[in-house]
Amino acid sequence: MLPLACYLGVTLAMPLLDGNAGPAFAEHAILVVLGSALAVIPWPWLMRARARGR
Amino acid sequence: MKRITLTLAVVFAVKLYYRSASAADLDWILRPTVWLVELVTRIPFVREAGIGYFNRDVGFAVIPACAGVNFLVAAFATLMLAQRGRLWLQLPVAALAAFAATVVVNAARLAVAVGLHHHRVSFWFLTPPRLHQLEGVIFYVTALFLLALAVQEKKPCAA
Repeated sequence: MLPLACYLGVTLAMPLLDGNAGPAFAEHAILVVLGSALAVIPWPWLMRARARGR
Repeated sequence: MKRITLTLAVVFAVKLYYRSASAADLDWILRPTVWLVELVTRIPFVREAGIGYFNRDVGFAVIPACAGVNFLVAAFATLMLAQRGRLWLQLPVAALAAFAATVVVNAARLAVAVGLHHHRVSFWFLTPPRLHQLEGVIFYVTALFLLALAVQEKKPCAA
């Protein structure tokens, strides 16, 4: 989960922390969360398949 | 703790630089990325002062927001925090690896984005700009997981 934490930290947490989150931030956040969820979906299955293959 | 502090310091410094950087300031990352996009898509981009790189026929511009700096810092942080060992040796290696990964991943993302833009693809609430952003997030998160996996692969197997 480290890569996801780094990405969400940079794209969501940092703009909030440094006050750089503009009016479009809510839409940005929804798209980041949606895209991250879609990207993460295959990973548990891939990791299980990789572990079985070893 | 030293590793986390150093990583966060670099990440904040790059983000601070990026906040006020112009297209000319970011040419060190825009130029190789656009070169790779041109190679893949066969679509030429012309450098335009104050904008970045632009193709009039397709109507697609590679602007500072497309430079992939957020991915660059996320990749750097992932590489730094996923490893153990000599910190000062890993810092430049992680920075170089993050830069190379950013150019390749961002060029692939932009090549797909050019295709989506050219064909005016949209779906339900996903307008072309939203789809462009969503595509970027999927590309970047997948690439970060692959980077972390590549770093883990280097670890010796416990018997």
